[in-house]
Parts: sequence; C-alpha cells; structure tokens
Amino acid sequence: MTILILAEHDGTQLNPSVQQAVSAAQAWNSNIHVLVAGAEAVVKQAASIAGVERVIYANAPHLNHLLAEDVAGLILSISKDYNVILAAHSSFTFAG
Amino acid sequence: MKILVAVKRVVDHNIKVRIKADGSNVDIEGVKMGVNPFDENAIEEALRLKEKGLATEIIAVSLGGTASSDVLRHALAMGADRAILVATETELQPLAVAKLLKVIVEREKPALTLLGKQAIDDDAGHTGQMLAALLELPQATFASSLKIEANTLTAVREVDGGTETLTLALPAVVTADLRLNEPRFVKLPNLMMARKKPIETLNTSELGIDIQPRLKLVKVSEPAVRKAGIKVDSVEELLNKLRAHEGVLL
Repeated sequence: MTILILAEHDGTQLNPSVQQAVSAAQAWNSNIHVLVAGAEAVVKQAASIAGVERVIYANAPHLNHLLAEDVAGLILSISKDYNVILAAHSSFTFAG
Repeated sequence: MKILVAVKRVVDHNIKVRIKADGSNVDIEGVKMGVNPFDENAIEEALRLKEKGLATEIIAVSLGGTASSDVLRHALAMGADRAILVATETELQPLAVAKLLKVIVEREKPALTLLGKQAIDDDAGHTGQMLAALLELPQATFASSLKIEANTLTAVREVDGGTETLTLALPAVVTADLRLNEPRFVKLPNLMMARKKPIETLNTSELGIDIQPRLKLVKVSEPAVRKAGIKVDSVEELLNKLRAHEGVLL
C-alpha cells in the first residue's frame, strides 16, 4: 500500500506540517511518497524526511501559487496509484 | 446575478454539549439548535451584495430533516428571497452535502455560491471545497473580504500565515470566515414577513444521489483535563517539585 502526502510550502521552505503528516502516515507501516508542486528548492527537504521513500515533483507556472484548483487536478492525475492521500488540515496556501 | 447560500442547522453555539454515557456521540436531545454562525456570515454577505445592486436574488438552501426549515426561516427573515429544503432523515456528511448542493447549483445556476467555512458541530470545513471541485468551479475559502466587479470576484482569505488575495472568475464558490462581516439581527416584523416567503421542499430520493455516509463515528470523548497548577512557597520547594515530579535535572 502506498501513501501520498501533499507538501505545503512557501517556495523555499517546506511547511513543518509535512513532517507531521509523514509521522502520522508511519502508523500504516507502508511506502510514503511526497508530492511537491511548484518549488524545486523544497524537493530536497521533502526527500530528506525520514520515512519518505519517493518525492514526486511537478512544476509548471500555474502550480507556483499552490492554488486548490490546480493542485487538486495534479493529485487527481496520479491518485489511482495510492490507497491514502494525506495532507495537513490547513488552509493550504503558498505562505509560511 | 443569483446567489445561493447554504445554511446548516446546528447546536446553538452557546451550548456546552455533553457526551452520551456510552461515548458513541454527543447528546443533543432537546438541545437548542440554531443557524451555523459562519453560515450567517454567508447570508449577510449575500444580502450586502444585493444591497449594492450586484445580486438580484438570494436563495437559501438547507439540507436535513424538516426542522431545518427553521434556519431557512431565519435566512428569509434576514432578507433571502426564497428557500429550498433538501429533505432527508439520513445522516448527511460533507461529501453527500456537496453532491446534493451540486444538483441545486446546476438547477439554479447562481453566479456565486456562499457557505460558512465550517460547521460548528463537526468542524469539518470540507463541503465548500468539495462542492467547488465537483462543479469544477474556482474556490475562495476562509474569505474575510469579498469584492465583485463585472464577472470577477476578489477575495481575501484568512490563511495560517496571514492572508492571501485571490481573484476568481464567476461563477465561483466562496466559504465565509467570521471576519467577513457582522450579521444583522433579525427583527420581529421581518420574522413575520418571512413566513410568507416560499420554502420549496425537495426529497433526496428524487435527486438520485448516493448520500450514504462514508465515515463512521467510532468514539467521542472529553479532551484530557488540564492538571491544576501547584503553588509553592519557596525556591527550594520549586526545585524539589521539578526534580521529583517533572523529572527535570537541576
């Protein structure tokens, strides 16, 4: 079983909530992937979180501001590969 | 421009709910109910847009048992033009509500659909987002300010780090934060007038949507009680307590 975690960030820093989501996902003892949209700087940070097996990185100008409509479409395009899609219950924004 | 406002009947926000003895749910038997506070912000915003001449008709919609017509009456008394009750005795969770609201939106074709940012009973904050996604419409959630010019909506969102400003093309879905406005009080004459305004009832069975709950509530419990603080008489006593009880090495 694979879990996809949605990364929230501000372009340069990964939001701490992502690490919390990874910790929570470890309860399932399964593979954890993190989806980073829009910011290459954040990819390495996501990859360095203990427990993350793979980081999926998507970049396009329209993804730069992490707008719900665009990111949802992105998640949907890879969702069939995952049993759980996990994210922090936040306002999900391109900010600190 | 038509505006659709979704309103939910919830436990009155002043009530301190009690948990049932078996921990299966909260006990709301006989408890005072009312309009979800954030939905009142949504209604109020619709009214202001109408008063500015930007909206022509405000439709309030509520989903649930027949008692939900109470909150529709409240919306009508505030100034909504007509109301729709989507009636069912089945427990409605956010996904089902979003699917049902989609049917209403497709029927009424409002330029703007307003909801409260979350309901104070389940605190889910899901419905607006799901509705926008199902309709493939743009969304502005946790909105604390709204401006409409021609066919564009500018919303300021209250987000975790501060605020975020978005512009959306209409039609769109917006969920209201408390800071959006201060809802007007309902005056008795308006309450009386509201009785004459129409409430249309639609049965969920007529709408052909699968509204079965997807989530099962397993347990409800009180939050852990915060331990009382201890007053100490001297620094020595403070150090002793820290070492003995808190395991602090000093």
